[in-house]
Amino acid sequence: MLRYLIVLVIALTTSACAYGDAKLALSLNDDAVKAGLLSEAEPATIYLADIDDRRTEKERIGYKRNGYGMKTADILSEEPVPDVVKDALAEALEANGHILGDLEERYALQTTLTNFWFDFKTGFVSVEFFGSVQADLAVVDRATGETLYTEQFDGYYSEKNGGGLSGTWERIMNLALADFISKVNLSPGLMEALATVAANEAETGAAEAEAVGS
Amino acid sequence: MIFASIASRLGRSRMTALILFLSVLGMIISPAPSRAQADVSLRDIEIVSLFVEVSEDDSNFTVIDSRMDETGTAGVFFGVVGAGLNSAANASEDDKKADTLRAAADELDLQALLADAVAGTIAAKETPPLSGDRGAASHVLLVEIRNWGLMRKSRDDERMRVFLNLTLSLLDPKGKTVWEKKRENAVGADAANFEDYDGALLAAEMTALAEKTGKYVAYQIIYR
Repeated sequence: MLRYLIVLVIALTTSACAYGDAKLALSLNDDAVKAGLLSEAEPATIYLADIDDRRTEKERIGYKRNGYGMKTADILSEEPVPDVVKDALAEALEANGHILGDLEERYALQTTLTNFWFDFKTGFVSVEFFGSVQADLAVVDRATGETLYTEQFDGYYSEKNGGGLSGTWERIMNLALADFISKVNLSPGLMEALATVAANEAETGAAEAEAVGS
Repeated sequence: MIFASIASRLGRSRMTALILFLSVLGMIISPAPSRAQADVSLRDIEIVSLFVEVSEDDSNFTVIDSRMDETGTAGVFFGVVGAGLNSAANASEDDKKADTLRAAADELDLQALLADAVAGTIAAKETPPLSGDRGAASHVLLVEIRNWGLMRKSRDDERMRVFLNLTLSLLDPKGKTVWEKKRENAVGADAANFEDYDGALLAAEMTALAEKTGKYVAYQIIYR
C-alpha cells in the first residue's frame, strides 16, 4: 500500500500540469517605470519602430520540463513578445520625458530582439529560475541613414527557492524585463544620443521658424 | 557506510518514503533569501551618506566555453557557474583555456576599477553624499566580485566575450543587509575567437566592462 502511495505522490509532484502549455502575463512592473539617466537629456521626439524579432525561438519563451529535464510543453507569453518589449521601451522613454513621434519622425529607436527566455535548473531540494531579455538598440537618423548610437542590453534575473509554477515564472520574467529596462534607462551612451537628437530637432525647428518668419 | 546501514535496517520501501519525506521537508523549509530581499525596493531606503566597498574575496577568473554546451542559454549559465553542476571534462577543458590568460588576469585590478567607477560616478552627482568613513556612513554599498572572464556568446556562436558577475548589497550601520541584488551580470559589447584573446585584449575589454558596470551600479543608487 505504501509503495502505491509513494508512486502516486511522486507522479503528482513531478508531472502535475507538465503537459499543458502555460501562458504568462508579461509587462513592465510599476516600480520599474521611473525617470533615470535618460531624463537628463532634453526631451527628444523619436519614432519607436516595431521590434525586429531575431530570436532563435519565436514560438515560445521557455519549456516546461518533467523531473528528468525532458521538454513536455511550452511556456508562452499572453501578448506577442515584441509587443511586450516595445510597450516597456515606450513606457521607459515617456517616464524620462521623451516624446514618442509618428512614422514621419526623422529619428527612430530601432530594437533588434535576440533573446527572451525563461529557464530553470532543478536541484535536490530547490529550483533555480532564470529569465533573460537581450536586445540591440539603435538610434537612427532616417534622413541620412546614419546610426547615431547602438548598444546591446542584457536583462537578467534569477532566483532560487523551494519551487514555483506559472505565478513564479511570470514574476521572474517580469523582473528580467525590468532589469533590461533599467539598463536602458541608465545608459550614458543612449542618454547622449537622445540629447543629440533633441539638439538637432531644436536646431531644425529654429531654422524652420526663421524661414517662416523671413 | 552509515547510509547503507540505515537502508538495510529500514528496508527499501521505508527508505524510499524517508527520502521522499526529507525532500518535501527540504522544499518546505528551504530559505528563499532572494525573494525576500527582492521585495525591498531601493527607493524605499533613505541613504544619508554612503560608503562604497568593493570586495574580491570570492572573485574567480574563469573561461566558459565547453561548459556552454551543457545548457541552452547563457542566462541559465550565469546561475550554473560555480554550482558544481558542470561535467568534470568540460570544466577541465575550460580551466586549461583560463590558464593561458591567468597571468594577465592576475594583473588586472578589477577591485580598483570598480571602486573608482562606482564612487566616482556617485561623487560627481553628489547624490547620495559619499562618506570616507565606513563607521560614520548611514549605509555601506558592498560590491562583491564573483565570476568574471571570458564566456562563449551562445551555444550557437563560438565567439567569446568578457563577462562580469557581481553581488550588490546595501548594509545598514549595524551591518544588516537591507537590500541585495545577486548576479548583477554584465557582458562585453565585442566578441572575438578565443585564439584572438591575449593579455592586452582581455585587459582592454575587461577594463571597459568594469568601468561601464561600475557606472551602472552607481546609477542604480542615484536614480533609485
